[in-house]
Order: sequence, then structure tokens, then C-alpha cells
Amino acid sequence: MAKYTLKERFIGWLVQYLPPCDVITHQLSDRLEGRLSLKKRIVLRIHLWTCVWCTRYGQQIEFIEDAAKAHGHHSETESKPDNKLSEDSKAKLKEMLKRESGE
Amino acid sequence: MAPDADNLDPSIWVDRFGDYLFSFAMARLRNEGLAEDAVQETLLAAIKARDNFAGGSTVKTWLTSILKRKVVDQLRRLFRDGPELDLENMPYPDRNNFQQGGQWRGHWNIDPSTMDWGSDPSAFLEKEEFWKVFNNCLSKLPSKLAVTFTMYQVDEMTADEVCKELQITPTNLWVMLHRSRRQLRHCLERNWVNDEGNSAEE
Repeated sequence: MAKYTLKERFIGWLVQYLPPCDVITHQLSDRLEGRLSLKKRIVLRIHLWTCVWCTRYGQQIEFIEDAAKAHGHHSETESKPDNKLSEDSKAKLKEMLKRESGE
Repeated sequence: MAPDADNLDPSIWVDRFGDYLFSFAMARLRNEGLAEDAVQETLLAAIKARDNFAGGSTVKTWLTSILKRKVVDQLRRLFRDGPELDLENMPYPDRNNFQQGGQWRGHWNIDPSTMDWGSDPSAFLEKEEFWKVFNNCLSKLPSKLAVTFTMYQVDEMTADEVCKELQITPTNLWVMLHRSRRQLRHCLERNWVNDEGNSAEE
């Protein structure tokens, strides 16, 4: 206990008045939607100032949001080899189109 | 651009757009059978509506807009048939990363270096292997969570649209998105960032 610096002790004192990290993860999610009240935004800011874990968590779910969007656009920029229709399925689809358009 | 008239011939649709449409559906449904069904339904609907195609967009865009609707229908069915979730009480898969009791209850109890994803995670997106892990992690979400996440984050539907399609309240949506993000983050950290051979080297 004696090894803590003044800053660390101050943070330790402060943190007991803030919501714990598992609550903060939910607020970080809400922040992505821009739906945090001013009061919550301020408390969140203080929490992040003291907490490297939640800071990283916040950056990472932002990254996941970007990745999810890229995932949605991915199919448009490149067709991954395991995301191709099999020759069998193509033949079936062609057969169906022929049948349906020649009514 | 000249009118896309020759692309209106259905006999060339499969060769010209088939892989693209399938890949679009796979990114959202992650199931070959369902993705193929969605492509098939799309082509059928397109044949019937072919005479109404007014131009103004390319045939590819037109087919994609039909497919997008078919995929949403599939997602809605997956959501409806998925196991019910107890959003209040179901445990988080990463619950052991948090103190369970005492003065620091609810705070992280892992070494912060575990959560170091390197200085530029966006470089992950360039790697084929990352997308496999990403897909696997999405597949591990309970199906109702996977559907909400896919609609809102992958398909970029608005919150209103998602709530209307799935008949859920906004509060439910926010909780489900939070749970999806938290589970995905944990899964990516374990299976990509801290997986041997893929560690985020500087």
C-alpha cells in the first residue's frame, strides 16, 4: 500500500465515487450512439482519465464498429474465394432463370 | 454511362453478378444455405419485376437493393426463431475479467497489457485471417444479438428501422448492441490479438 504515489492514491479515492468499469462499458456503448446525457459524459470523461482499461475498451468498440461497416462493404470490393457460389449452385440458378423467363 | 440494357438479360445474371450477390448475403447471414436462398429469391423477384426496371441505376445496384430486402427478411426470421434472451441476467462471457466482489467490485482485474491491441488496429482489416476470426466471433453471438448487430452495424440500418423490423424497443436495442460489442471485443482479443502468431507487434 505504501508504494502508491500521490496521484495513484487520489485516483483510488476518486474511483469509489464513480460507476465501476462494467457499468462504464455500457456507457461507452451508448456514447457510440451519441445518447449520453451531459452529466454522464462528464463522469465518463473523468473515469477514462483514470482508467487505461476502459479507455482501451472504448477505442476497441469503435474499431469494431469500423470493422463491421468494412465487413458490409467488403463484399462489394472483393469477392473472397470462400464466398463464391459453387458451380453446382450456379447451374441450378441458371436453370431456374431459364425456366422462369421462358414462361 | 449508357443504359444498362444488356445486363437486363437474365441469362447473364448468374455469371456476372452471382458471386457478388452471394458474397453480399454471406457477409450478413454467414450461412451458405440461407445466402443461396436469398440470391435465388432475389433473381426470381427480379425476373418478375424486370419490365418495371426504369434504369436510373445499374442492374447491379437494382439487384442489390432487392437482395438487401431479402436478407432483412431472413434476419428477421432468424431473430424471431432464435432462443429467448434474459438481457437482465444473462452472464457476460468476459465476466471473469472483472472483480467479483470487494471494494473494487466491477472493475477490471486483468493486466492492461492484455488489452493492448497495438498502435494501429485498422491494419487488421487488411488481413484475410482477421476476417475469418471476425466472422467466427459474430457466429458465436446468440442469434438475436447477431441479428441486431448485423442490421445496425454491418447493414447500417437506423435504430428506428431495426426496432421496427424486429419489433423491439430502443432500450432493448441499446442493451443488445452493448452486449454484442462486449462479447465481440472479448472474442477478438482472445482469438486474434492475443492469439499466438497474431500478436499485435509494433
